[in-house]
Amino acid sequence: MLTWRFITLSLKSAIEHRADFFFMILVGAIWQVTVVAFATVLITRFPGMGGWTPGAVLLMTAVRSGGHTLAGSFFMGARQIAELTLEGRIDAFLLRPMPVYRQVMLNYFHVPMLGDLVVTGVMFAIAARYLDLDWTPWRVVYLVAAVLGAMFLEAAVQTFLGSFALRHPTAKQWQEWTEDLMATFGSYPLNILPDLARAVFVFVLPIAVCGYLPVAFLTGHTTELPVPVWAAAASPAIGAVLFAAALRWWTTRLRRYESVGG
Amino acid sequence: MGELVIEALGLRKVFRGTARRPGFGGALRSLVAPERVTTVAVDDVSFGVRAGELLALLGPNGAGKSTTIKMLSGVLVPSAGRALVAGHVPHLDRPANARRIGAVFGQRTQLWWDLPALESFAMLRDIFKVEEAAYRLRLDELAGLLELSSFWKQRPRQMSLGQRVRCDLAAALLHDPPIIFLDEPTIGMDAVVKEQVREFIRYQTAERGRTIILTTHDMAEVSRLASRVVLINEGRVVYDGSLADLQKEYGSGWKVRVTFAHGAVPPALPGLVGTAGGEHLFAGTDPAAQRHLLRELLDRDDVEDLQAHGDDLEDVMAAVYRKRAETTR
Ligand SMILES: Nc1ncnc2c1ncn2[C@@H]1O[C@H](COP(=O)(O)OP(=O)(O)O)[C@@H](O)[C@H]1O
Ligand SMILES: [Mg+2]
Repeated sequence: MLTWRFITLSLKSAIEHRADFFFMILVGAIWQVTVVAFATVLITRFPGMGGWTPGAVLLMTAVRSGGHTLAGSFFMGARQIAELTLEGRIDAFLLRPMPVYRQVMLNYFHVPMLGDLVVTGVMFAIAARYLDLDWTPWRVVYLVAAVLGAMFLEAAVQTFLGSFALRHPTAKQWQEWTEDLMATFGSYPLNILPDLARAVFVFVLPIAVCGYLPVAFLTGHTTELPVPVWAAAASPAIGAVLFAAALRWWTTRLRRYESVGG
Repeated sequence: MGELVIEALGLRKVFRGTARRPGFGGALRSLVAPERVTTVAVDDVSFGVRAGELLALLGPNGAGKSTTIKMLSGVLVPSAGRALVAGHVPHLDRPANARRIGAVFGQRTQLWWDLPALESFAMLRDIFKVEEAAYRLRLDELAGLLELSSFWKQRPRQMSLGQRVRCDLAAALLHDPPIIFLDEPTIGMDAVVKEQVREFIRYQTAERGRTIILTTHDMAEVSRLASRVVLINEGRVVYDGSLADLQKEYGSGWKVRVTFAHGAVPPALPGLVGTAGGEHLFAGTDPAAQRHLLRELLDRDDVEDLQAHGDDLEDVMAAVYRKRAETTR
């Protein structure tokens, strides 16, 4: 399969730079260990956050981290559109019988994500131990949907912003800024934030979709939600819908692609 | 001649960007009220290329050659006008278009920068879904013509320019496209590699019947490869025709200087325009007449010294631009 060929290719070229490869995995691992350590402290030292039980908070962190890891594996290319454009690589992509979007996404496989995947699994396990939830098949399916929703949301945001990078390389700074914002606020129950900030993260930059809302629904923390319960329940689908919209936006931007002179 | 396979029909491309103002205040003002700058890279370009033809697209830097090629290959969508390649609009069905064309942009590579070229070829084989047997045959042939095998296990990052472009040429032909776009493929190469690449290009039209559009600044290359040239300047076609006609129309003509052996009786040959200091000067505009004269002179044993000057194509081009500028003003 072509997708697999691309992924092994990225891995291969990462391994070629052996020192970098192991260093990247190490950095990724250290980062993740601090995340887990922090989450553990959160669980054992604090009674909860904004009325949420520690297990629910950790589950939310895990959903967001799972979505982020998958987005980093399959949609990392969105964050390199500026470079790909400046290097003329988009020109080459346009001359191959394969959708440009897929080529961009497959262009780069973020190696530390391999380690992140393991750590995410560990977080899910810890959260499940602390949570007093009956894991019925449909809850498991919902959880998977929530992780995918989180992945699609991140992919949607980065694809939308990345589309601007086709003509304005500075869009990359917006992409990084948004990524940081989502990493910072995506992992905590949003009811610890003031109403205005919460509204922004639900309706403007819908970070809430990638953790807060679905996990609130799943764990029954539904009394303080800024939206009706059914909307919280449907939130994984919102990520997918936004992603579809971002893809359409990308297509229209690609039609107006200007390449680079010289 | 075959049917038209590449058509540029009133192609136009306008780039719209924002100008950067210098300094912090400038940056702020650009943020609030961006100043739009528009560049008309290609104003109005029309020409056609027939199957099996090699057309040289010439013009000074910034004339719009690369932009024209990008519109014809489907990388850019024209602002106005139409590109047709094998009867199709390139950007409307990119996958189908990609299978019909091959392209090399001399200053850029389409290979994976960090992969051995051989692995890039294998990737392209899979992307273009080329049958393994056909792939082996083609790769063998291309490797032979371009002498790739001594360096194709290297990464483009480590290759010399000539090696990299040769790999790029092979990569562009692996899916056996009938139409090829070459944008300054020989720029910056040393003479030996340049010659090899030229021979490769000649082979691809003459023996394989591929249709090629080539841009170059090397006039020796043009006279060696192209029978037809299109000259563009400031985004407009200023000449479209045969190279010989271009030389005839705009050239200052040929000259031959001959010194005959002492006491020899100079023959009465056509084209003699004068004698000075024992030297005979012949001149004319028809290149065939010059060849004829040279043959006659070389057959004689009383010729002591002989210098032939052809039309310098660089001069011819300059003359074209001058004349057109005068007529449009
Ligand atoms: N992507 C682009 N964005 C803005 N301006 C461009 C771009 N590409 C080319 N130009 C401008 O268009 C003009 C024609 O460029 P080009 O087609 O590259 O000329 P040539 O290949 O004949 O040297 C130049 O003025 C160039 O600066
Ligand atoms: Mg150019």
